[in-house]
Amino acid sequence: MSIPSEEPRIAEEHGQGVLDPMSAHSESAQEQALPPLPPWHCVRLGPVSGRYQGYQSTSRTSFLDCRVDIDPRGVNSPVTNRVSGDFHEVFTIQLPGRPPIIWRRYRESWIIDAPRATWSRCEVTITGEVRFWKGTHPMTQTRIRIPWGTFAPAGPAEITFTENGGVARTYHCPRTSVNFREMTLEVDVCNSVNVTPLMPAYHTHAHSNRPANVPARTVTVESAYQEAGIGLTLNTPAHTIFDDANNTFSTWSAPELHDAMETAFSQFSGGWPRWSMWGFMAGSFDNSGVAGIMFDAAAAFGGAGEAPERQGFALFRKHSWFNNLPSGSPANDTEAAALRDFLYTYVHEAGHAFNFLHSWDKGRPDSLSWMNYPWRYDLRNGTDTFWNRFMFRFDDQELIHMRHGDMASVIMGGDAWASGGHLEQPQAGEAFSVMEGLAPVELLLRAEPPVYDLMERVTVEARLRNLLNVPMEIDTNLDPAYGSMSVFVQRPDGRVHHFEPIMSVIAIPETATLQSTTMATTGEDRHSHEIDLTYGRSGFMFTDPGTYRIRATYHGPGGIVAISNVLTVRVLTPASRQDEVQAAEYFTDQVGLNIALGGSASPHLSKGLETLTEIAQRHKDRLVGARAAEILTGVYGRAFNRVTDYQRGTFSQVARAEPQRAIELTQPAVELYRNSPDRRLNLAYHNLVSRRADLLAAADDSEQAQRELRELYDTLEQRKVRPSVLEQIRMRQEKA
Amino acid sequence: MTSARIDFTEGFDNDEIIVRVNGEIAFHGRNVTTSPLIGLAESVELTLPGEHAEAEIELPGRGAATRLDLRASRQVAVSVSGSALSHTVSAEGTEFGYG
Repeated sequence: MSIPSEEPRIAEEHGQGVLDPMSAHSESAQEQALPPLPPWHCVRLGPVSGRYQGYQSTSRTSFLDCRVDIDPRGVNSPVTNRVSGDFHEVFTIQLPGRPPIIWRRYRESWIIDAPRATWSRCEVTITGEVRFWKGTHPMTQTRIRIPWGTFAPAGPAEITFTENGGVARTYHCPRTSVNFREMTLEVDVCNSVNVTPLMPAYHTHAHSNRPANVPARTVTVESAYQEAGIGLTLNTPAHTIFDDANNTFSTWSAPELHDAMETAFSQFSGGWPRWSMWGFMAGSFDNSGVAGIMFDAAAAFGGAGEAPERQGFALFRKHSWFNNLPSGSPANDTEAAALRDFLYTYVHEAGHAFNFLHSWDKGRPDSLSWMNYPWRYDLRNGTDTFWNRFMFRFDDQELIHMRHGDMASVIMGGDAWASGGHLEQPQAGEAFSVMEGLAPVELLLRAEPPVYDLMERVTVEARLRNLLNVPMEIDTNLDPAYGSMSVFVQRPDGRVHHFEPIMSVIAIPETATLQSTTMATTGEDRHSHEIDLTYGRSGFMFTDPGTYRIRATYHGPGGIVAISNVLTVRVLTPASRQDEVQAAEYFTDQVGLNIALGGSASPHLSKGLETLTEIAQRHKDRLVGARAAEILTGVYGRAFNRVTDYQRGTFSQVARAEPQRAIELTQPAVELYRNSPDRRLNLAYHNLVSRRADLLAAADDSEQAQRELRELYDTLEQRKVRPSVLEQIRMRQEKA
Repeated sequence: MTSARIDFTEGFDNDEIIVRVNGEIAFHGRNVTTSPLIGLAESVELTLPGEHAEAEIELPGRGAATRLDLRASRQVAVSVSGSALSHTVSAEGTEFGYG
């Protein structure tokens, strides 16, 4: 967890040494010398604390999202005496006669652990040293000036960062919210438990066992988080009702819950991380003692084991805690306790999605927090003591994390649950950063299904789509070697690697115009490219069975930047002991270079070629073999020349083209692709048939080339591939 | 015939657990590990043979063992720290919940 270890200086009132501007004794000596001001002069509406957002004053390429937490936001919302913020990089496209299109990318987060606030009648000045959560930075001081008028809210803030050495940047930030962060919660429900209440609303005085001084109020999931500083919007225009009436289905497992989330969560297919969460009301968990679970965590923790994590949680309505849940106001302590447990479970499970562990796992077993277990607290402190003391809040450390923690460790889909260090490498900020605003182009990474055998080449489809209502020029060569794409891969051990191709190519961009989405009817608004990530400058990328996360950034003409979704793929364990043995021969530089070069007959790489040929022949009925066979078309399909006499500069052919051999070796692959339902093979199938058409032409078999192109056309047409691709195949057929 | 439930909660880490009821093995689990997501490693539902029901819980790998009188409660939460097993029973009319 990224919470500072020292005890936070939390004050329910203003912090020590901090003067309240609303006090009559806060005028400076200079102000006292002036004629007296009317008592209402600079009476502020609302607190200073809240969210301030704005651009750098001298340049609109940097955006600041700042959270000031120095005075009470409300009666039940403690002050943590912290200031924090996130920097974003801003991109703008200006089209003639149209408003600018602006989008931004998250860069990094920081916090001021000990802000010093100096209050005067009409403004507060906050100073402090900035601590960045990641990376190396010069010592940076911040000065925040927040003025207000008479009967006006605070702001805008003028926020200046001064680095050691004198470089200063100032941001102009209007106050945008009383909350520090905002999120949405979408709740779906199973048919078997679709009964009132679906959401809890508990009055703090409903049960006789309560703290004597607990303020009377109705607490809901929204208000519990609002008091914690998080603006939670319940996003349930209509609950998706899951039909769980199947007799063979009685309890839910974590993977089944994740699968349900993939189906029902309207935000699931969007880019992650994001400030969205899914809640699910189901019947019973596999272990009937479980009242709720944030299932979206590593399998080792009992979760579903599918990254990105912390997207969703479930409540189990058939748990005994909820047996006496009233449909309206509770009539007695038993019903009140059920309703209180219902609220507690909701807030607790959603808390896990903010990356919270249980209180005792953080060394705070006596914490009076939503994240403790009441019955565990009672074991240490006496029967019924938890509810007798609990003030319906998170503890101080948790509030600091939620409000001011490093964004990656708080935001849903960011750092893995129970960690904050998975993405600490310098490139990680770019690898899994968040895009906000309306980007002009969508970059989508796809692999369907996203599963690969060990030793199978790992290729993914990168698709660009124009989101503007005007045509847009793009660079069509999305191969990372050409420089328009940066690809990042998070391996199963959590480390993030920048995929660097073995060669960097300097070339004139191959541009094309994507039509606007609103005008395109046959897919002219998008462009797809198959990217091979198998082998790069640092060797093979996918050498271990497990889950990998892939993300890419596109840098196109006109300064357009797009960040892709996070594509999660799995590499399976070896199918047999024979595969394990062969893997040792496969994961060598000789094989890798053959793959990266598209096949090579160089004597220096002959061992690698031999291994690939053997794999293509031995596994001809599997994708491992088919993807290896594709490489062989590049080797046998053309002659290989090399310098044979360096002194004379003699360049000789050392291997002749063997198109017939290439045709034979790739024949099983064509059949496999044609008969496979895998959508991710569409591009591979198209590419392979195109290459074979050249080989068949070289082998004087145009008739077979025609036949295969026709089959390709028919197959892809059935698979509803977009018409522009089919048109390419038809034109190729005419040439053949 | 009555039933009881034993929840193995905190501290389990790839442990072998043997539960005997009145001397007979009723549960034998291996690689039992606490999930920090729910604070729970394993739950065992036991059907009790008669009025007298004593359970013995043994963790051979830690040299730890304890005895429970299952008539005292329908639900018992057992945790382990080092070689020390401890347990607590749920209050009358209530059940432990996890999440």
